[in-house]
Amino acid sequence: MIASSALSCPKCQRTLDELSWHDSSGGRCRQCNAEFVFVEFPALTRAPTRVTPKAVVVSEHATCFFHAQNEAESVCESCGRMLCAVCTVEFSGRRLCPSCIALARKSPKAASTHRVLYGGIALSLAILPLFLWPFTAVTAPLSLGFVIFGWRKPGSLVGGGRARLIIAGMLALMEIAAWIVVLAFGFTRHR
Amino acid sequence: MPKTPRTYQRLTRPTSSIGSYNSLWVAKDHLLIVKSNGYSEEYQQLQLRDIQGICIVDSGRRFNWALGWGTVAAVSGLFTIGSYFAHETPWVSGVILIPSLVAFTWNQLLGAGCQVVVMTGVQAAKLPSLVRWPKARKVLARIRPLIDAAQADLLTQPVAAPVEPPPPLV
Repeated sequence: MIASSALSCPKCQRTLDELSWHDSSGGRCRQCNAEFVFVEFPALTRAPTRVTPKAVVVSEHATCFFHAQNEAESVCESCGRMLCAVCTVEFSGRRLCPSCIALARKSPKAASTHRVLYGGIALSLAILPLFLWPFTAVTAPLSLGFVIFGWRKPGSLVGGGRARLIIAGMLALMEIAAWIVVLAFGFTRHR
Repeated sequence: MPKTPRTYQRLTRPTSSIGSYNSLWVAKDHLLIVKSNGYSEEYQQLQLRDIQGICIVDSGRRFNWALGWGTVAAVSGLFTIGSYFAHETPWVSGVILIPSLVAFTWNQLLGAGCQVVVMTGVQAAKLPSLVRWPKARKVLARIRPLIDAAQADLLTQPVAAPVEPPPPLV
């Protein structure tokens, strides 16, 4: 059983031994007694592609960061190191070096990308202080600032950013207008 | 102007955890795990071509929630019965009892708890938005054909020979 030699139980993290498997599609972990289902895909059983590095012939040629004797054939898209065919690893649609892969394995955060949601910040600044309305004198202009700053910034990968910015902008403008009216009315009444 | 097709299609609604919520999306060639706290998002891509297997394992999520909501419902139920026998209207305990019973029933209807882990050649990534068996099966049924299609050419490649264990040291 191919899977059993490589797979760890997602619950207790111990390796699932041969006896844990009922068949190739599942079993029960002998350590934590958790029932599991395993769905196998062709990538599990495919033979690894053999790559042969090119040796450096001309001394001016760029060499691999990890193997000085091999000619560089690509660049790591994460750290920019030059890589030979042996060191180039296709990972999540990118060409990476083994050390960047190791880093990604150590901390999954390093492998993930990140985006700030200016729409969410602006909307919170426009809505939340309404419960303590005097704060809106400060938070409404701040919210409008975030709307302007975040308008050209890349939003969420999965959509919905612009709508929040528009709502936040409208709310902030209404709050600012309300403050102007209140201040103007109060000022004229005092006179 | 023709509407541009969306790159990502939602597979799961956001599932909340402490201070953040997670969702799962699918694009033409990859899965996207989105972890958001409302102010920023973190993404993790899993190429469909790289996925070697998906493991779904039981978790105690349904039991834990049932225990929590059941305790609240039982305690407020006792107070409600007590108020009834004392000829009082059980306003406070009734207000707690009804939502806790609804939550208890909803938790049972969602199905048994599970954890889903996607294995690639270099990592085992947990899908934090898939925490119930029925939903996990539904999502799996949806992404399985996509993964099979992405790896269709691998079926023609030779199968890797099993690795022989090294001979024992004498």
